[in-house]
Amino acid sequence: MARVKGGPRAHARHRKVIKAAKGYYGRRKSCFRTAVQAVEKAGQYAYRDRRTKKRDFRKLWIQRINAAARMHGLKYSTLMHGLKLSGIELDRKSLSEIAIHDEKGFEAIAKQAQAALDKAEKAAA
Amino acid sequence: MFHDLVRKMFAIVRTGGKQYRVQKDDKIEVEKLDAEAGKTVELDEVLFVDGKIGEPLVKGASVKAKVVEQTRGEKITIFKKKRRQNYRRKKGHRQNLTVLQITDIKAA
Repeated sequence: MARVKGGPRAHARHRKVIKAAKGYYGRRKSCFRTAVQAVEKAGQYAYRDRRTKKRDFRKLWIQRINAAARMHGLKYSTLMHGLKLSGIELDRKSLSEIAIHDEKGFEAIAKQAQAALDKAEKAAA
Repeated sequence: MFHDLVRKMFAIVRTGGKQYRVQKDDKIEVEKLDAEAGKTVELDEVLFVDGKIGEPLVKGASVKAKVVEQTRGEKITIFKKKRRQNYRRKKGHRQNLTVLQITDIKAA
């Protein structure tokens, strides 16, 4: 049987990696040895950052909600407590969107949260 | 502010465990719904619409949408590796999605 040499397969593999490394800095884009390392690391970062993205956005929304809440005399944590008491299930993304696009709507939400807090306080007293 | 001048009524609807801010004629990608393309679906989990706040849902409010297509999201390459452990996993993933076009928002 004819001997099989690895040339074409190896070349294809190298090409795939080099293609994935397009736009990288320096030799990482053109030299296979460094390109594989870079591409593998990039894959690991991508996996991790798909998860951190969720946390990062949540942090951003919380900052926005906090700023908007303080315009209505509440702070973030009391606002969220008030929302829980009043049964409002808007998530943080939605709340921040409302704060940005519908100031009156957010004011109404803050008022409702405040009312729920007052009611709970009265019940406790 | 500019967006005050062009403000359109929007609603916050929940589907597939996520909330979306929608306006009429918006196109949104949501987690796969069981409906054929061209059909109309009604999203009845409306949490906020036109200043009305649901506790948790706004009673009687609903959002109608046309199913534009059943599609799959961009391919994601899942690559895991642990160095010095000879551990490497590579897997592709495409999320099943439904593209919706909002046709009507009923504030009740």
